[in-house]
Amino acid sequence: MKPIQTLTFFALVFLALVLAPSKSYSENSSDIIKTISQAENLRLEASKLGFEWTTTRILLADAQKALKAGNKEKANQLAKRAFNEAESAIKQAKFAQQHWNKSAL
Amino acid sequence: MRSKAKALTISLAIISSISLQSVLANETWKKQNSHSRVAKTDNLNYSQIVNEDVTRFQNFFVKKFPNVEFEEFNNGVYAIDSESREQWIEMEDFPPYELAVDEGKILFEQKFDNGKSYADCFPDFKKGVRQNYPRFDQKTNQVVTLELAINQCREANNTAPLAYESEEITSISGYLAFLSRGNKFNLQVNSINAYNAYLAGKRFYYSKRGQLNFACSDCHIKITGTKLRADTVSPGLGHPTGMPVYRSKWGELGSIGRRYQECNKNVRAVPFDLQSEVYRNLEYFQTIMSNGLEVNGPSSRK
Repeated sequence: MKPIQTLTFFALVFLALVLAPSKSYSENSSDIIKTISQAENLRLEASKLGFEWTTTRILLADAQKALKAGNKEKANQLAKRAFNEAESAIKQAKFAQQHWNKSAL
Repeated sequence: MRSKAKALTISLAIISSISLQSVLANETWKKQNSHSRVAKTDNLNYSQIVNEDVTRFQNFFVKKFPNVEFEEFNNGVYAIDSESREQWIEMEDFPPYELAVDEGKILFEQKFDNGKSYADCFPDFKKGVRQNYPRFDQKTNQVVTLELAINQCREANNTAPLAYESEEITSISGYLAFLSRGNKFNLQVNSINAYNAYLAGKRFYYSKRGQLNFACSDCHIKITGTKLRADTVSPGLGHPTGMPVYRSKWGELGSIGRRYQECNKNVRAVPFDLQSEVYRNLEYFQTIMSNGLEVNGPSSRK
């Protein structure tokens, strides 16, 4: 490779790196609040079924705390985890309703 | 003309065939449905069904631990873990629940404002009543545990109920259990409502819950006898016989409901309230599974 070509190559790489959009957090607060609210509804449903997990409430409380502190990324991650947990608890309840007898003596 | 008549005859034949099939199917459905309705209410021998469950449950543990006598299963983990058993026997030289039993006796003998006492609610207390609980009350259609019966007695005598897990109620329960030592559990399920309560308890026992996805049966049937960290997992047979229990961890007497709450928290499931219907049904199921074992409460555990 000629020196000119090498220089052009590195210049292009440099420009690409400089001009590439930096990672920014795009989720807005109302979306996060919506996820928290959906997760809370699922948690309540799991609770009604008698299968709520102790960890879900903690995740929801932490998500709200992070949102209040302005840490949207953390808040969103926690809210999504709470949502997934509550959903899993409901699945667990439904599975138990259908299959509990299979392990009975 | 002929072809029209032929078509009419065929149509009529098809219609009658469909109607006949429909009538027959309806009759069959009625018969089946009527049979299942009856089977669900009158024809089942609940006592027999439950006793078959008891036999299967108990046989599992007898086969799993062939060196343990059946009567020993009321000692929980100390029936299967010889090392812990030695420490426990030494601890029983000066039982940590002794003061609570004495306190329970004093509380039990106290009169209510109307002059009556607990003895009026538990006339057979000297012979022992613990082995009769939990029982299914047909009138109120619910499982009544000994702790609930103590509070029902207070309320019947215009006295405020005690808080569950308070020192007073566990002491009275401990005293009544102490007087019942040696009596055998022999609870029977004789009605559909009692059977439904039993079944609800059984369903809870075998249902996985919590973030760790564990059922009571996973620990106390599937992996009983193995180690969970430093502790041997106790067999599911005989759990309620030693209740209330003095746990060194608690430093006081506690009911089986408190233990249920602890187990649920351990698997990261939100626990139910003390004396909730869910836990009373579970206690009912577990106690029935321990039919034939002697009352040995109050007991002590690590």
